[in-house]
Amino acid sequence: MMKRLPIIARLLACVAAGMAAMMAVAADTETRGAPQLLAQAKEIVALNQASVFVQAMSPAAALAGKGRSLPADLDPAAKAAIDRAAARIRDLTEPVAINVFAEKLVDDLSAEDIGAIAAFMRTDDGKAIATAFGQMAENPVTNLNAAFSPDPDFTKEIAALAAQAGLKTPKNWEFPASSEK
Amino acid sequence: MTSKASIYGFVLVCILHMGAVPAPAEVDPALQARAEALLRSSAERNLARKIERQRDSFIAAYAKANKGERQRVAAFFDAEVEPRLRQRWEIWLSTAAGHFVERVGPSGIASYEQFIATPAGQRYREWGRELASDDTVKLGILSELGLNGAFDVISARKEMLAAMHQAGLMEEGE
Repeated sequence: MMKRLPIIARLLACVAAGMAAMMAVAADTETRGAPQLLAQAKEIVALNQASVFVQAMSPAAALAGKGRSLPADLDPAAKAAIDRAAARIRDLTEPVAINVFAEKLVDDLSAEDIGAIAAFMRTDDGKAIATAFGQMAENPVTNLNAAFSPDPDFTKEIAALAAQAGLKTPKNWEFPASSEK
Repeated sequence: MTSKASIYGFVLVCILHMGAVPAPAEVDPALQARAEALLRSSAERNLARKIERQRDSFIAAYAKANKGERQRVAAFFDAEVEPRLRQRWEIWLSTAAGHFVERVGPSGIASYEQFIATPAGQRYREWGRELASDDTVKLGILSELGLNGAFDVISARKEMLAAMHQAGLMEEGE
């Protein structure tokens, strides 16, 4: 009997945990509202936050963050290999990012707000704005990381100022420190 | 000869760079200022985070090279380095605003201003700003991807970077 008690206790704990999880899911579903609301939220984030998140992992963005761009005359075989891997990243991450961002939007903003945002995003201007923001990551002059990546001239400028101030510059030091670190 | 070659090389790099990244066409200054204001309010929080990261990394590196001078290094960063980083950001902002105007046009700027002046637009923008510093979303994506999914993404990313290295688009260590 004594040996069986812990098993029963464990079973009860499992049932209680299961019920709690089910209640949490029900409460969550209630908070997140109707499926149409989630669909509207997905429509918004697919154009904006999720799109920017996925675009930031693209080959163009990886180069743009270092102040460079994809050459137009890239060898077709090399381009195909890069595109294949990039497409795989996009296929894996995009649907997940859309779900997660949309659920957060539904949790944080009211149905009325989401309706108004979705209405704006469906306009031509709304789409153009979302696209413009998305493309910023892929352009070396508009990718903010590029301004915060190692720059030999800026490194020299800061090292000279530090020397004037009596500070020793570390060996092999680069500035700004790479933002991806 | 070597210095001539490096000058030619430098000029060539500049020309190639200019060709690769076309500068935006002449933009109406008033429109440019409005676009800068729109981008500034969205990007300022991001800048604060970037400067904080640069400050930490700078102080760590310089304090190691200048034993026991942590406070002096921090004061130097605040007085000399941070204003220069902000200057770089201002240049970035101005360039980004020019490209933004070029892409969305005057009507896009006006619509965006109107939208973010509405209560829903304000709340959405604030939500976006908060999101940038909220790691729970990234964790949520990781958790939804699952262990296998995350490994698949990492391996695809490695594959992409390897192909970029092979094509000479990236240097060793990048």
